[in-house]
Amino acid sequence: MNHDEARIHHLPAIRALGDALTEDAEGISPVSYLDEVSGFPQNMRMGLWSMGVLGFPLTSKHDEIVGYAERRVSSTIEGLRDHRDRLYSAAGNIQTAEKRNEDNVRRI
Amino acid sequence: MSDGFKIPVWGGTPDPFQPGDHGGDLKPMQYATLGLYAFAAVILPTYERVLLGYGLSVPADPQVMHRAADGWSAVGNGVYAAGRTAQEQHDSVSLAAWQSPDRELYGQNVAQYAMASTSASDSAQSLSWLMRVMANTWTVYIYYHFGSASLTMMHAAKSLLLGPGGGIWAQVEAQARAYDTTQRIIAMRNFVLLHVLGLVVKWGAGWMTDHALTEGLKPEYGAGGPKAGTVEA
Repeated sequence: MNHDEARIHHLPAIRALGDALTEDAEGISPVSYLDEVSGFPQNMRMGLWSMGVLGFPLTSKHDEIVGYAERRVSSTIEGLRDHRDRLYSAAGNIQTAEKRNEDNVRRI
Repeated sequence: MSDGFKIPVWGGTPDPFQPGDHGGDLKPMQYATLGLYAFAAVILPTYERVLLGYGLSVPADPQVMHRAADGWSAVGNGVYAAGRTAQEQHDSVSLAAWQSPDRELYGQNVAQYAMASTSASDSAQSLSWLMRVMANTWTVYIYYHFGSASLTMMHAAKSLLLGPGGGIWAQVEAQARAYDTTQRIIAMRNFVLLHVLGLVVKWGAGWMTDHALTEGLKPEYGAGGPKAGTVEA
């Protein structure tokens, strides 16, 4: 019986899933889409007085919402990178545990 | 000695009519000044409302709103693509290749993320649509005020030329006399009700719009403040 087939967890697949979230090896990754979007255009913020005094409530709310969206996109990118790191550390933990199990079995 | 405005009184001291100077009577001029003030009191409110309404709206640039709308479209598309891709990646991992103990939980997280990005994308798309509608409405508003301000200027010029004896004065007087006291109070109550209700409706519409459009965008701080590196919501 091949040693790799006996594994419950397929470690390269776990790492590949993490990479697929952040890197463009196979198609465009979610992080790349969000990276592209997170560079908001220069004139995305309207400026508080661009609609005159009467338009101030609207423009101030609009620019506030632009700020929300920017923060949301960048925090999502951070979160996806965190997920990748967590998948990698999970794979590492599994590897360590398996190695210890093998050592224990050998010793017994 | 004061040079202020005085209504001349016959037989008062000093008597405005001095027999010594020829045509030195100031009464017609003073009455004309009084008429001018009254005239300004009637005309200026309308004039001020229209002129200020136009003047305050001058810096508005509908193109700015169109550019912002383009930006929102791009954000919506990007966020939607990211969510869809994440879901596809998750679905394309075969069960045999990846048997994580918390696979179910991770699958739920990905589904939640995809749904959240769809709703955020919808928010951005509706925001961009709203911006486009407003930009075009704003253009119409600006041109309306161009026309309205020119009409008011013509009206004001005509009134200045005709003076208190002109038709405009008579029209205003007739309008005021047509109502008795009760009718005036009813008209005033209707006016106030209309404007208060209008304000309430506008405030409600603003609240609903904000609630609907920022649903996927506003950070919701739970207990303990924002959690770093969470993808949910």
